Amino acid sequence: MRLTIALTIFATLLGSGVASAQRMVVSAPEGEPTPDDLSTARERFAAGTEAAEHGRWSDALGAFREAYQLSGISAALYNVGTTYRSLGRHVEARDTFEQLLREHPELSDDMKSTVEGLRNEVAARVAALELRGVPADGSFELRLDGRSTALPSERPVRLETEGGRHTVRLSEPRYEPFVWEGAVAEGDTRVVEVELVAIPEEGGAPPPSGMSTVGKVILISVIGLVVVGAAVTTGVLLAGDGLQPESGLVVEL
Amino acid sequence: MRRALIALLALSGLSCAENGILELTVRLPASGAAEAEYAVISMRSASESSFDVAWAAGELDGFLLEGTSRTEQISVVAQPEDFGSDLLVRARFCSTPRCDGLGDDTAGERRLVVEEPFYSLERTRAEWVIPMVEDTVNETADTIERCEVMGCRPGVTVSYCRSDGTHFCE
Repeated sequence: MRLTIALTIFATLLGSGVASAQRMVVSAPEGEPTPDDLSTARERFAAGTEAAEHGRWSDALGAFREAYQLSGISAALYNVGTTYRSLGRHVEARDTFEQLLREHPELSDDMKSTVEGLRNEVAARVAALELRGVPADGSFELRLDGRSTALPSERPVRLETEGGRHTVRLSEPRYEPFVWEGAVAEGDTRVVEVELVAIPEEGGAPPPSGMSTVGKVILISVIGLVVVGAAVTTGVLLAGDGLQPESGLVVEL
Repeated sequence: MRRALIALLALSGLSCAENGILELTVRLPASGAAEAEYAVISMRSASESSFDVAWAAGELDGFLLEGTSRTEQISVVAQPEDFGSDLLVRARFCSTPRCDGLGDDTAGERRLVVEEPFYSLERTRAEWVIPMVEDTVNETADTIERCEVMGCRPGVTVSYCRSDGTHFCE
């Protein structure tokens, strides 16, 4: 239904002439789209609509993005947002709807209201990881789920993401890499306490680790308990039939 | 003497129970298809199979894809003959849970190679994010490298390979 609405708007805008197309700073065409570009945009938009109707969301996303890059027309950007939403990519969906509201003041009041509703809906589903204890200085490399991510300058570091399991890896030459693995629910913020372990320099004092002596004692105790626990567990398992699967979904090779 | 022999046989039996488990977390993509769409996941040891051949029906029923992405955890149990081999994983996107519906013979597919994930009596972990439903067979397999396979490093995790390149589970 929304796609139909968007398609109607798109056709209306194209029919009313290219002057209606907005210039975009990002991903919109630099100047007025050419008739060829608009023709191609129409085709890509139609292809995106067909793909969406068949649930081929990744194809739909690519087609709508191309349609917008060629035409700069709001309906294409709207469908980019709804496709991200269907894919469960709430961060990108929210940002797309915000861009739509920001860069397309020509939207009707009804359409603005619809877009604002969608923006609020997906924004409420964005999850976040809050990294505490990351020093402000140093050349840290941050990876979220394996992807290199720019480290924000603000502290604590806030990383927006989707609900589910994630892996954070923080590395810096003076410290051993810190890796955190865990889950965060949709719409929630999960606090991650970053505990950096300094690598001792030969002939020099290690850099500050950011952890108190008490913290180190607790950490060592915890590691000791884990090691002892692992040893006990291993002993128990050796006396049994090997490791037991954690999941109810088991595949025996 | 007889008791000692029984104990020896029992110990021999225990030494054979050296499985290794990979806890594979799979993040399934969202599906907006009007009709039901399933991710049918199957796996083989690279020592006995490859992506160049078709595999018999998988051990697991397909996961019904929903409107939003979600994760599932699968425990993959290997025996000593599979230690040191890569794990090959296929996710086929089908219309039925067993991937036997009309048109499922040409189902889209995404592939994963997990490098050497199994170690004797060790539990390892890996996560595979499938970003989208594939419409065709994507022959470029995702890869989780050996040093990215998590495990055998309690507490503050530093790395899963030592500086000499060996895995902490070795």
